[in-house]
Amino acid sequence: MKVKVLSRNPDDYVRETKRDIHRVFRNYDPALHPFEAPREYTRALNAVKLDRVFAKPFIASLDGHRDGVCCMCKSKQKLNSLFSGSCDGELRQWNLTNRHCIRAVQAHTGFVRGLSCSHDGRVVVSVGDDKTIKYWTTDALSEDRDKPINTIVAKSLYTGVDHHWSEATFATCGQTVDIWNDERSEPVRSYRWGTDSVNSVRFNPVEANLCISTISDRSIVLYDIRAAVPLNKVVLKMKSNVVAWNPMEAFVFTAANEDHNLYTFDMRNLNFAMNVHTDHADAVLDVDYAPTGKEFVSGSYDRYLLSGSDETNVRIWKARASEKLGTLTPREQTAARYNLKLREKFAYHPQIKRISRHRHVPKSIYNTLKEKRTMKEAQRKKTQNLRTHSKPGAVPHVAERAKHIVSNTDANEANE
Amino acid sequence: MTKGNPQEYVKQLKEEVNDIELSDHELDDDKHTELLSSIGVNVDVDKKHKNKQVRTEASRDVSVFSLLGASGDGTQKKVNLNQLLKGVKESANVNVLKKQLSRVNRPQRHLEAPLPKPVAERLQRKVEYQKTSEKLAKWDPVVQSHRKADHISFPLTQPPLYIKTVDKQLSRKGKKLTPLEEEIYALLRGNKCVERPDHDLTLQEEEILASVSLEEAQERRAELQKHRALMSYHESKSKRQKKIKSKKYHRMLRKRKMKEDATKEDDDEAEDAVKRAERMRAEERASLRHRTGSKWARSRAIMAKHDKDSKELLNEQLQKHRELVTKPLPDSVESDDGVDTNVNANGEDNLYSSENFEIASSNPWLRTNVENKNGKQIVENGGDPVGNKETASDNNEEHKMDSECENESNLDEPKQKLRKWLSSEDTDLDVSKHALDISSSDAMVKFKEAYDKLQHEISSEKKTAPDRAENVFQDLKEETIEEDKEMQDGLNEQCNNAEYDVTVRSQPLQILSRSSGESKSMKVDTDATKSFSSATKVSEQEAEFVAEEDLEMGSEARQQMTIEQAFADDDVVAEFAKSKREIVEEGKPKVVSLALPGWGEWGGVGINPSKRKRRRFRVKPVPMKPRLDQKLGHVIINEKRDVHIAKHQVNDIPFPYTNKEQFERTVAQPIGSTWNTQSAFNSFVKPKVDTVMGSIIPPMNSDEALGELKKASKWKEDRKKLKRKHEHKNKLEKLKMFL
Repeated sequence: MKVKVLSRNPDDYVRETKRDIHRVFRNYDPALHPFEAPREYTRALNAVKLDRVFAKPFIASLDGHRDGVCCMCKSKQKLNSLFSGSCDGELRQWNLTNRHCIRAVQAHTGFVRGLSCSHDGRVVVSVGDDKTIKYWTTDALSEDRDKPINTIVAKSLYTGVDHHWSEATFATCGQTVDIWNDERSEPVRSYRWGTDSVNSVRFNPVEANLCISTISDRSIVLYDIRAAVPLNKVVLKMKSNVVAWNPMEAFVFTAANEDHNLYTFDMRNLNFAMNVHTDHADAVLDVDYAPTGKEFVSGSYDRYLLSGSDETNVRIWKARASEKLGTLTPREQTAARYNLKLREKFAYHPQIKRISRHRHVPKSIYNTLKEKRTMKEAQRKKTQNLRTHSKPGAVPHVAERAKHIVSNTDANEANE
Repeated sequence: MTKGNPQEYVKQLKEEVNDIELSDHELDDDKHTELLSSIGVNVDVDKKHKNKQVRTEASRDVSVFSLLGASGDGTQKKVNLNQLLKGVKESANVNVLKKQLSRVNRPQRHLEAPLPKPVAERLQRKVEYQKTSEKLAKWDPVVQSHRKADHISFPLTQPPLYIKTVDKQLSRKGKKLTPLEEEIYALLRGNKCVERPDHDLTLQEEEILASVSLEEAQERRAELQKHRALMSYHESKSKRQKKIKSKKYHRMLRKRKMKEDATKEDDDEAEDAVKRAERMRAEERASLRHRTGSKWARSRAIMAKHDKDSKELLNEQLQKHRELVTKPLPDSVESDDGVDTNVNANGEDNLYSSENFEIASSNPWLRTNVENKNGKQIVENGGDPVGNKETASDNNEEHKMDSECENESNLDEPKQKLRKWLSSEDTDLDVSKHALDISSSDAMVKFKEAYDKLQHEISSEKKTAPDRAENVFQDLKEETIEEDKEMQDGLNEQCNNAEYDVTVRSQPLQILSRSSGESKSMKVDTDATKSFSSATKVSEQEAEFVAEEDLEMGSEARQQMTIEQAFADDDVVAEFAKSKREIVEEGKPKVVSLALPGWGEWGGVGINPSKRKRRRFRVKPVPMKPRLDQKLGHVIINEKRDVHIAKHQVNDIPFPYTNKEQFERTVAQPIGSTWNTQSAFNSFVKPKVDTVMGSIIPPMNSDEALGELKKASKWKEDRKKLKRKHEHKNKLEKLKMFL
């Protein structure tokens, strides 16, 4: 009789080197794993807790300005190049890799109101309180780096500037929205709709000839720089500070509003906001899209989601606070991805939702937010009561996305 | 002249009439109007004209106000120049004059006044906005596809990687080559070793490949490999030997080498050596020279106790014997043995397994092991009747209640059976109908209706005559089974038959149901809840009775009835009571019998533990706290809810999900590598957005986007083609199968 013995090939279970991980053999039969879901839930809970534990978003501070930083712009051709203009008229260029100031120029007397980098990344245009538009080279090592390439003395004060994404054209805003060409010292075209001053102007990165501006009369106006007249206008309940275009979706823009909210619009349908982004405790001052078009960052007085500049410093923050910087080993990468997916999967579970939303914010902001929430709830209750105690249909339901829009031009014209 | 323009014609007529009027006023009015109407002139207008001022004689001062149109008032058009020309007689100049006039009369082309600026701008804006909105529509598909995509990696278009070869650089146009470059280029130009941009291999490599066959190449490669391995082995060995410091070892090594050389020098000598060795072996095997039997060996053995050397010597001699006798065995012998053993082992295995099998089937003990689950069930069943009796004795009242309920369910049984059978019958009919004849559909519908009626009636009269209903039902079933068989022959005829059968059979039932209906409607007043349940199954006949009695009942009762009618299909109260009863029953602690079969008595298949034993090991339940909802009639309080767990549970179904099951399924599906294969895990955790570190992500480009779309459409086309191909293949295979 021969005795049969179970035998295994040592190659299957012996490690090749001492540093290898032990191979683990698994049976994936779900009948053998009755506690899959609870175990994964625990993992998700741990993941979301660790996410909060490691949430350290601050990376560095670019120190050097002697006054508050008023505006910033990043180069369109270089990842590590940043320009910032301060309230004392100083323009600084930064190298983000080693976080050094490459050069500092006294660009204007008074505020530097706007900065914009050209599409080829060679020129930066600045506008200031001294009613001048100045062209600067981006080459920090060139001889004329302390002098502007060109200076245009304008008739009125400019509050912002932005460059075309594929041509040597830029737009300034102030009394009017002016379109400038590199070769001319006069605006090629200027638009004006209403009497109020224009706060900001931004070019569309995809449909490069479209641009958008916010006006002090609470309106947002669309332009096509090939047309002689503006295209359309939408008036919100409060003033919008800045607008940002989505770089991947040609017709989508987001407006940062004074009423603590951000509104995302489809420019073809201005009667209705696509989305309302809430949770700021104060007026939203700035907004910018990530180049993927999937996320955007907004800044406010409450410094709640701030990712730009304040006081005299320019600060760099991580977009994902708990993300590890530098290269990750494949195992780390997989773990991070798995954790992310777990957080997504169990996002609706109350504990996970609570932990992931938890933020340590300054007391004042915390209280303001709480107060806001209470006010909102009270308002909701009041309208509900009104509705129940009045004739049916007398208090109509208005969608949150339509509530904040006062008028669209078409509606206006119908009234006129 | 005037035929072309009727209006003018009328006008002229009017003038003429006016003239006539002036001459003879005494003309009859009626005749006048008749005349006018015959011409087609509006009489009313002409009446007005009568009163108008008419100039009858020429005078010097003509009032400006009386100078009006041709007819004398403002209603008519002004006189045309053409009209005036009518009077002019034909002459040579008239035609020229007419032409000039027609030129004057042509509609004038003049520019319209410009719109006010704001209005113009508004229009312009509107047009421009519409235009741009329409243009933007081209982005829709791209944006949608990006939004829906499970995975996108940015930047969207990564630049293609290629190496700039010398060849390419040299062939650039417009620049003069230096003499050195020219020389190099000339060398490279016709060379076979130069890499080509669109080929993997150079010309030379291809030639070599073509010249040598694959097998030859492999052989050669293997040879070379072997040689290399040997070389390296030799190298390492010599290195190792070189490192050894012992002088003795090196001396021995030298000697061995010399010996080897000597043997190599003379092959004949080596052959002799082999022969000599064989001979020596034979001699050794024949003699006892090196064994322990010799005189010297024996003496050594005696001495070995005291002397180590002698022992060693003896051992040495034995060793020599072993060495001389042993012969290196060739491989074939070993393998033969191995085969034999294998065969043996297999035979044994088979035997063993077959025996095992037989034992398993014949041995009752083992069988019980195999049928463990069944046995358990049997045991439970054995225990049940006793337990049932016990509980019955404990709470008799409740049992009565249950029995009522059971009765109900029993009554439901035939109904369910009928339904089941009907449904199966329906499908059968449907299939056969489809196969045979479509014209029988009308008959089918009637057939179904008749059965539905019958079903209703059976349910309504279940209390009075359940048995009879069942009998009828069974008869019907048998009948229709037969019909089914016959259906193969001719469906139409059969359907008619069936209908006939059903109608005949339903007549007595109708009578029965009438009586039962009466009794039921009488009950309505007495017991509200019962009527609620019974009302659900009210048949048409019953409804008539109810309507009659409705007049007699009060308004409250009527309301009750309307509620009942509203909830006619779902018996809410009874259902709730039933579900509550079930929950209560489930929550009650149960009698557990811990009796194990085979302990202290015989066990096995078909043998249940004795009654005494069962009673001995019965565990009586500990009485529980009364339920919170014990006294609350229409409330079920879930006492199993755990607050600590509830804290972690989701209360509402989150947005993208529409029902509970969907959400639960997604949560239950694990994504970790512990429960999934590595590839599945990788696909699960792949992030939605991927970016390449250190690369600039440019905004979307229209060319790229369009290209992407084209690619996508091409991919779709390819897939369609593949699918078609696949289908074609499948068809062919099927055909082959049939053939």
